[in-house]
Amino acid sequence: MALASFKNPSPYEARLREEFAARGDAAGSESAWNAFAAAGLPHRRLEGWRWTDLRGALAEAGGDGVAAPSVGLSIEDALVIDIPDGEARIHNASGVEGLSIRLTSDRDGPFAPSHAVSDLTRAFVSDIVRIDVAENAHIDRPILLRHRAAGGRRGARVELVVADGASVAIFETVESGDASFHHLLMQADVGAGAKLTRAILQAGAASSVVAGVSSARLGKDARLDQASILLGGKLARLETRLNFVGEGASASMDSAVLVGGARHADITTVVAHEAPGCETRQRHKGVADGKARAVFQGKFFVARDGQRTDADMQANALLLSDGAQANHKPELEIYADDVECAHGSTCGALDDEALFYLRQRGLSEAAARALLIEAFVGEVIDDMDARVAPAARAIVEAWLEERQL
Amino acid sequence: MLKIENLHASVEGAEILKGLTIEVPAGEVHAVMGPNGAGKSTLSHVVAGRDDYDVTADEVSLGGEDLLELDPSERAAKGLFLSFQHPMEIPGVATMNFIRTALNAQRKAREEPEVSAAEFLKLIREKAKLVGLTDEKLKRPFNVGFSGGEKKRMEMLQMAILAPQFCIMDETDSGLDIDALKMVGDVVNALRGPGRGFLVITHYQRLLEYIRPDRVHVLADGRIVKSGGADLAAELEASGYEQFIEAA
Repeated sequence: MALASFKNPSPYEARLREEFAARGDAAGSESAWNAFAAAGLPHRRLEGWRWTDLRGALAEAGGDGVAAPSVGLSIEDALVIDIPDGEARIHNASGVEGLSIRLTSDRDGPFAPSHAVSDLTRAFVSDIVRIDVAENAHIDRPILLRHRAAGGRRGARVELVVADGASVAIFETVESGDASFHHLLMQADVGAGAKLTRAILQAGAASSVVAGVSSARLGKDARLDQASILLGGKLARLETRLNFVGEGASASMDSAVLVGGARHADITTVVAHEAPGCETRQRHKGVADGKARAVFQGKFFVARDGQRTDADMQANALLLSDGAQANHKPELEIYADDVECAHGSTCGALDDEALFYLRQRGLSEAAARALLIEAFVGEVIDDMDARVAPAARAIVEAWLEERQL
Repeated sequence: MLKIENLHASVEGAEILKGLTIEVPAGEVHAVMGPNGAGKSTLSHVVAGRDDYDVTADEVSLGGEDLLELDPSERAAKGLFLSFQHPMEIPGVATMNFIRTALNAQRKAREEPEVSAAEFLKLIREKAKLVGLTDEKLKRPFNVGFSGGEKKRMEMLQMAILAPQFCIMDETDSGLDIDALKMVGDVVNALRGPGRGFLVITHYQRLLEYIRPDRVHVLADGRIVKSGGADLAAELEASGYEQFIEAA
């Protein structure tokens, strides 16, 4: 197969092509490359990327020498998969009944979304982490998936199949170092009556770029509970695409973004209600300080077959400085006539009255502000899986402490 | 104890307090009564240190210490407590955790030892009983879903726990039924004593049946226009504030 080239490649795109062409193990991934090259890196002239310019962020090289921050998630009995610098290592995962975790180069996994980050990742990553949960198996021990990029371009690809009636929890950390570009793809298939619990904690150096896309297909009465906490980077975007393909499937999708300095974080979601009687609850909390930007784009799509869809999306932003920005784009696209879909979006500063109240009770101004910010994102953390919530709370507290310096 | 002399406060160029002078000696309870818009809430906010006002005064001091240069949390640590007329609902803030944080922040500022979780639990349970708040209410986020009366009970709970040197009660009686008024009276009367002072701001005489004041002051148009003994409250109830509005 001929290797496609970009039209007017940016220097970074030209480097990617050289890198790809030089690979010895590229066989079988040319089509993914060609799909990627046809559109190139997403940039701000594309509607879905207008606030998150991936091509622009990768245009200027150079970092500040700061290593990848740690989000410090450790869970005693977790089954651990480490993906440091793009090479996956699976620890202690054998011998759990009903669970298989392995590396594969079989590229015909489930449900790859058509998406630049997906194409790029499928082109470059040949070692796929494949997780299978057998029918009706309930995996008590959580899977801990640790993505780490010390520097340079690092990709990771995970496939997850939760068979009918099974359940599993997967907690991910994404730590990105100085001047790194981290691109991640997760594809998940959640069978009928199956349950997937997912949490993502992200922290990156100020010069790091992260783009992750996850797609999940949910069968009849399947359930997904997902929560993400992002601290951003030069640019950090986590995109989730859900497809309800079976009747009665449901999901909660919560996210909190805390960004300061000149950081940028983006939560983008598309939930497609393609079967009847599905339910989505989505909450987003964005906190931006300094000259940072917190982006939220949420879309509910309801197909003609999505009758009795019940979907609610609430996005709230808290701006802590004059230079901070929040961009929200809630969207509804509905083709069924018997649905309940709602969305709300707010943006504001800390409440002066509440600050005065707390200070009157003896809290310093800094402590009062921290308490209110913690309370703002607290709802999202309180509802997280109890095994991961303490770590999420700790990274929020660390962020607040750092901010006060 | 609390001494305010020639206090002026304005917001966006509009003067609300126009040379207010009042002194509450230690151990006394003084009531400030007055019509709507007289500056009662401004008085309480300015003394507590709210920074939305332009403030000048010859003196605002507590126990001889100048308050004007202190921020609200420093004033609180000096023992000044304000019971808010409209207490905040603060979603996401755990009630018990917040009150303990406040108590320990004040104690730390005064270089007193912090109260342990166990000691605090005992303290809050005891005081919650006194103000009529159930355990279930204490487990909720701060004031969330509380009725007006329950919010006032939460103010009284914090006053009882923080045991401040001086309490300003800003229309604590508004929206309260008879049982709740009696509860407020019980909390104040239990705290009342040498070394502690109260400024009870109210529109009506009702609360003063439960808390008999040592002095009553009439606040109209930003000044104290009349002062007298406890009987002045009943007089005002009968005659209304009209005379003072005209006089001012």
